[in-house]
Amino acid sequence: MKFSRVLIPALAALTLASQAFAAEPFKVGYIRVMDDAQAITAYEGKFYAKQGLDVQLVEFKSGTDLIKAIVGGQLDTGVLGFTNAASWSSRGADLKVVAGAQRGYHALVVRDDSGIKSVADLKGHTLASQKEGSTADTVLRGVVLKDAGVQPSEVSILGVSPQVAVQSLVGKRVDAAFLFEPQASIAQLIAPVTQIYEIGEVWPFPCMVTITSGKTLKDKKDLVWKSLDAQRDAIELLQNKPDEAAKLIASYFIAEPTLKTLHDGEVPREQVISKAIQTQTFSPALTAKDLSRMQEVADIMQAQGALKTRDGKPYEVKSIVDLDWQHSRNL
Amino acid sequence: MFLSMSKKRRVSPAARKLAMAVAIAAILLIWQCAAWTLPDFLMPGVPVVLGRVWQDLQTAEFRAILAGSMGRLGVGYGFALLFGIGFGLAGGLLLFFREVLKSAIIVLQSIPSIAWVPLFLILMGFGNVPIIVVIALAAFFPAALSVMNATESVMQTHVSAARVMGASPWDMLRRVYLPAVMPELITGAQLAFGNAWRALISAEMLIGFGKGLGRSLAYAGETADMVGVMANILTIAILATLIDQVFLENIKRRVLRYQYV
Repeated sequence: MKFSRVLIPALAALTLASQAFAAEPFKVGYIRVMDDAQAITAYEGKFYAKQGLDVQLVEFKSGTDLIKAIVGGQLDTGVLGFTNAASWSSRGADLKVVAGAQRGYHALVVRDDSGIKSVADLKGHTLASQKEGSTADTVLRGVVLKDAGVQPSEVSILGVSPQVAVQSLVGKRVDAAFLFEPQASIAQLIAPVTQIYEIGEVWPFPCMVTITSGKTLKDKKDLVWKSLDAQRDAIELLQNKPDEAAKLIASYFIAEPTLKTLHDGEVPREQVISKAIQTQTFSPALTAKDLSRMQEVADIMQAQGALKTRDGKPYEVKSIVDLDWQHSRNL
Repeated sequence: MFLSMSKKRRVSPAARKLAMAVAIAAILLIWQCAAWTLPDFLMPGVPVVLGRVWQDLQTAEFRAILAGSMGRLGVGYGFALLFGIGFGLAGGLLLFFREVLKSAIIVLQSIPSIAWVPLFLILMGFGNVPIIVVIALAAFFPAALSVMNATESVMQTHVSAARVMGASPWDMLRRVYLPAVMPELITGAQLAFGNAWRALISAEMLIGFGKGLGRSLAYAGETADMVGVMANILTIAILATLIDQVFLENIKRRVLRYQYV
């Protein structure tokens, strides 16, 4: 009698708990930048839902924060810079890069009143970038500044979120900013700033990739693959029908229906975002060329000291790449 | 009688040292237990981290980081004490000003000094100044409050006696108020140091300018270097304890000895 009195509520609780587990949404982490448009589009365009997934999108300020949620098991997948997976896996975390996403487009935008005409002119100026250790920051220091012969210590680099970077540039807090899209386009529309450099044109690299943990891939492979299918469909829409995609995602980047521009008055936000989409290259697959670029970036990180393997040997990007989904879909 | 009572309630210096050792051992044990249960890339063990701190100490880079943080702390904390004592004493002498200052402090000290960072960044630009102002602000309130409270409790007979003997306001300040407020001022300074130290680390983590312990801690976290994170935390804890327990305690003992002789 007494036993059943305890047992029944306990069983009921267990049943409820298991239901709660069953109803647990598939959590995808993202950053509010065009590079992550595939995740936002897949969500807003119901591509995830069409695959039978109940997805919850979770926003992060930076990939360096997002990766911690994947390592900690709070997220299933995330669309973020692959350097984050490299640095954590080099320390022993079990992470997998399962698909491509976007090839790094980052623009260096400067204030017209700063007198900066080239990357070399950045010396002695302030620059807003992503957080130290992020993919964008790694490439900024290891490629953009290095190629121009500028030491990172010669520039005051402020590591902030993409939104704050734009605000800082527009609000004259910094002279220059290393920006994602659509922030680079928006900044040029609303403030007297000019783009002087675009890394996508000079040194294209797979910036954003889809990352999951080894455990999630093992336990929920089916769901992870479905989410990748959804993101592939979203990429198709972004590449082929940017206007349609812009309707789905514009509100994520511009709160008001129109953007008040410096020279052209009010411009509908969908128009701004559609243009920004068209400046990007999205790809669900990682090519051999992408992989070798990723290795190059990892080597830069190792040289910068941001990536340290436990045995001191060179870091192998191949060790975290799992292209089974890509191969099974013939991409 | 008062002395004998207070003697009974105090522990001997040896017991105090033992208590400190027990506390440190307990903290290290809990840390090590966490390290045993979690994967090492999430939580490194005590020996590994101690090794890293030792290794870091040999590098010029780490010494530059320490110098950066201590420099900011020195300037910020110094300004806070200067203004705290100044305003506190002024409040002690001028009754209405004391009430105004007290009300202002009640309103302002509820705002965490780190909350001012976005505003300071715009007003003062990206650099050392906003970090130093955040530190000074965090330490100013406890310093000013302690001095002000102490001036309130200065014995009126002492004040009257000094006045009768023809003391000028400056004499009053130097000979009556300052010695009387000294014990509470030292306690306030210790409290202010705690605030300043916490503000320093948070501001450095948030602003990420120059070299500093806070920035180095944040960077280690961004690059998955948990040994670096724990090494920085350990350094922060050791340094704060050293400054508080060795440096400030010594000053306190010296000043209070003079008080009770």
